[in-house]
Amino acid sequence: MLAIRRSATRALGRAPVSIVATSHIPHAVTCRVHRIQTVRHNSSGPDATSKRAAISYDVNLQNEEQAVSSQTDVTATHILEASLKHVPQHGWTVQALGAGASDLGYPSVLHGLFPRGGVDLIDYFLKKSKREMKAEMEKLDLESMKITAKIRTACITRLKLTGPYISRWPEALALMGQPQNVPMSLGNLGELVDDMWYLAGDRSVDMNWYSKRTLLAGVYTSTELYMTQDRSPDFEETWKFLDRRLQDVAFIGRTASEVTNYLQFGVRSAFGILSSFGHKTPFNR
Amino acid sequence: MILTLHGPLLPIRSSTMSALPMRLPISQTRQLIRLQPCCARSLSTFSEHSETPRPRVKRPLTEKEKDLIAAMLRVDHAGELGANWIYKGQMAVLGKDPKVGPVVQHMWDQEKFHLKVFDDMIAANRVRPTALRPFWEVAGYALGAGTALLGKEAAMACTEAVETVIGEHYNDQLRELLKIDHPEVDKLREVIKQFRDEELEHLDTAVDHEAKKAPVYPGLTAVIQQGCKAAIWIATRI
Repeated sequence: MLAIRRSATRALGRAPVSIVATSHIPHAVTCRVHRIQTVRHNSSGPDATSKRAAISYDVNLQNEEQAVSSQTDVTATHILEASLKHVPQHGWTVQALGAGASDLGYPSVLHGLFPRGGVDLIDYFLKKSKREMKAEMEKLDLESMKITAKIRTACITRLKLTGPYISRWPEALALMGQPQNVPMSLGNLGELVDDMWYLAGDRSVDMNWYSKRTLLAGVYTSTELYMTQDRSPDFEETWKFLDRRLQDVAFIGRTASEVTNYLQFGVRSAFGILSSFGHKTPFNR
Repeated sequence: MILTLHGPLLPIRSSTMSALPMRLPISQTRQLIRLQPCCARSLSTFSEHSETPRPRVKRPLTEKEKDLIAAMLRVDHAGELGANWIYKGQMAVLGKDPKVGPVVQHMWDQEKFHLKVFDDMIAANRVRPTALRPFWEVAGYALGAGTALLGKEAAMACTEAVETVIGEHYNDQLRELLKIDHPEVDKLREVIKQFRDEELEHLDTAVDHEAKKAPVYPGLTAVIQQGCKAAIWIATRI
């Protein structure tokens, strides 16, 4: 019976549930122990590690073709794409969507496909620009570039895509700032900075993941805001602004250890205050 | 309900989901298929070709499935991180013990390997790592060192409790992952299975080293298990 359960377990990956009967422990704290009798039972030997079966640890779900969209999604995407060229004239509104639908031969009332109106158009624009920035960056020789140079190039590439719509961008920012749209805008910003860092070669899995993305998000949004009032030819002043912001954050060496330093400083100050009141602390025994 | 059969009922092999008795009439085949909702195959083939393996229909993962797997990788990464720091705390106190020191060191080495594998998987799959990493590090170290200070049996009891929760947790994940039919997910299942088996070995080791003789064993075990379950819940989300 046990043999059957063992082979069934290994085939299906489920552990048999066995209640460990302990007389003196109340039922409420009896733990359910899922035990599997494995074939190799040398649990404490030093060579147990070498007996690890050779399996592939290289699980990668990234190289995936996208799921097939429905026909509605395809039509919606075409209308959004066609509406973008009406944005300079109509802004991020349902008028732009209606004009885009008319261009494609649909009745303009098809803007009803987009319940959030202009916000759906902004969402589409953000996602499309992120994809285009990524495609542009992948054409470059990223191995030979330094990290800050890669981030700079990624930011400039992305900001140039906002260029044609910059006259209407303050309205987009206002729409994105509305409370009901904040998840959409922050989600898009998060994906953008994640893509930029991934292209720049960041593979960190600790607090650096957060600090790098937060800093880049700050740099990017402030530069984009500057760009909305920049009248210089080809946005030269914006690129200079971006360089100044990148110098401020200086990604080389900016790690989570700064947070640790800050905390340590706080702890030592607290202990210093305590010892000046006469208490014994680990620092003045 | 009386099942009328038109021929001998062949035994159902549990190892292949496509095997079904060959001579059941179609109505009863439909009944059996309803019991396995994840089989989406045409009925006609069951009666004719139930023995031949079917080609895999590869479909891309849905967004929900990708989010689910990302959350699983996040919590597994956090779990291995916590386990590493627990053993680090235990070694800080018990490292010099001749009997228990090498045992804890060996278990810690295996956990280091687990953490490395999950580090690589999180980076390759672009999963957001857990935001509370410093907290898990501090809490793990405190738990390991704290229980080790109560004695080696308490340290073993802590290991036993933590590994019990982790074993259940990996089993829950395997149950969820079995619902997704995809070659990369199969690889992930193999990895989780191997790690689960190693964690349960640690559980056995801890019990062999007198975990149950720890002071306040039921209370200690209950508190640690609840703490681990809460940590798993939080790490899945944050």
